[in-house]
Amino acid sequence: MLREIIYNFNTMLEEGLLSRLKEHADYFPKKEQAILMCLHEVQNYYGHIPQFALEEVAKLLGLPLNHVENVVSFYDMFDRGQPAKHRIRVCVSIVCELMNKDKLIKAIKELLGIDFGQTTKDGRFKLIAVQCLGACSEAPFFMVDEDAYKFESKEKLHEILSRYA
Amino acid sequence: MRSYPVMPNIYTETTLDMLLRRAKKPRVHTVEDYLRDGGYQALEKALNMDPQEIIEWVDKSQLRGRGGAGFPTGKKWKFAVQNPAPRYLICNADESEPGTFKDRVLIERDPHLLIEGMIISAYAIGANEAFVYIRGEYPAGYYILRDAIEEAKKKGFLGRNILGSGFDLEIYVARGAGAYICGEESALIESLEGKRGFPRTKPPFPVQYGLFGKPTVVNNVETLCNIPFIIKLGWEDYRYMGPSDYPGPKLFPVSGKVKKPGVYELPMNTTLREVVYKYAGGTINNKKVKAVFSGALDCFSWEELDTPMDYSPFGFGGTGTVIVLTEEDDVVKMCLKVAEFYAHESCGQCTPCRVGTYEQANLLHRIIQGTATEGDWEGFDFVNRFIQPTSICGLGAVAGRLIRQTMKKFPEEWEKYRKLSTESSLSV
Repeated sequence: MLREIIYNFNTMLEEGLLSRLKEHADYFPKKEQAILMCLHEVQNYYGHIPQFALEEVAKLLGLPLNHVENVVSFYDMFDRGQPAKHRIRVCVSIVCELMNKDKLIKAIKELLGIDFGQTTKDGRFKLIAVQCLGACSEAPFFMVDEDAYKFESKEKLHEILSRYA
Repeated sequence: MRSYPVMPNIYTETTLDMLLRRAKKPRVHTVEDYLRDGGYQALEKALNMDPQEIIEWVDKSQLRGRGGAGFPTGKKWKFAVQNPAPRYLICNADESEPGTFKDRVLIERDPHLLIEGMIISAYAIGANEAFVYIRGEYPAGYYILRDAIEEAKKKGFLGRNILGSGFDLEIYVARGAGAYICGEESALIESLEGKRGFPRTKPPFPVQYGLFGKPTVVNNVETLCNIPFIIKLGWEDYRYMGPSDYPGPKLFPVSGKVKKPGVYELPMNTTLREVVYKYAGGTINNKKVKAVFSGALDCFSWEELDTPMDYSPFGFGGTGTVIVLTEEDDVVKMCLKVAEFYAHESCGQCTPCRVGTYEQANLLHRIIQGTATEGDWEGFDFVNRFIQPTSICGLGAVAGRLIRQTMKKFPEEWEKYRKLSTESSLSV
């Protein structure tokens, strides 16, 4: 109880984000199980995972900070680098390679001028290479944030990307 | 109904009309759709049965785990109930093998089939808490499952005293965050406990020491979706489907150079040739099939197209993933993709796998560039062999397998690259 009060006074997180993190922590039988969900939530909010948010998550879940850092560094989807509003995940696995993923990567490079791991100058998009996204019949395949798309043409790609302001 | 993230429009076809009965239509099926189609009747029947009897039925049905290893589900449950309660049930929805997308179709389009299967399974093994661990790259599936569980709760299929039977169950959904290794059951359990996904040393197996140290059954999505059919039909009728040793429907995700890639539900006495030519419509531009990769696990050549799609020692096995390569594709270059995949997904816990998979990809890269020396070839051969017996979990054990198989089955392809490296070393 005391911990809760101290916590509420010192928090640096937004009210809305904090209440969602608490929801996740209350959802599972044990609080520490919510760590991945909380980190997803933080990343969606800030566009990456800032250091202070790690400390907040650690406090909220009652875990040592180094445990949270340990977990963040293990999972591929978590990004502590430069923030970006939207993430484009491109599959670079076997089937997409077979079905000519290079066309898709070339189109993204031409449209946004970024390579893997880079962010556009306005911080709108970040390009990330991932192993199989699990929609191989639709190869070459990519995701923008939580939405999944098949690559058809550069024009179609441009149209899709323009939906993400 | 709320709107979900954009989902891929995966083509599906079924000859059995069981697992894909509803999922063949590309939309989310709500609890009303499911009930209209006779849903949750198996649950009612199961709750009137003795849990022991359900386990016996599943054992007699000869259902095998659909996640890749093909371990008999009934046996796994029997091991679990030998250990004291509390027990847990976990649904493994961390489908990340390259070329595999069968579970996604079930989760996104027919979540209630999975939920019904989970309730029956949890009742059978005496678990009051169950978890679904879904991979981070399937956000739509996560939201759909959360909503479906709420729907089921409102109808009284989940929560306290389910349908007046006195049995309580809560299902929790957890998201992964992009680690292939979390599909390995002990790594999944670690991840579900809020830790790094490091596989545990076995034994003890999860049925003895699983989530929070309690006996835990980890089953694949497709396996759990089979359970309502076993209960509804009875194990005898269920076994009429397909070959007698490997009964039941199986989903085959087909991708690569075929005309109709998608998920196919077929009995397991289908041959690989039938899958590629009869169902998937043959290859693009009618090129000759050069090889079929079963995920990143096995490789089959043109001569082996008559392999049955079952779990026998010479069968197709695994998750049923079919990736078709034609004569214009380079097998060795695809091996590089496989090696890169393992190097990327190795969790880094044990040295042979962490260093071995990295070196394997590195050396193969040099081989393809034509800059490999004689020593590199020897090293490649060595690394490729030594990861298998020295690693903790299954990832290391299979990291060199597909590459070794292609060396045996396509020696001429590898010879090309050997010549390339000898030529370049002469010119230096």
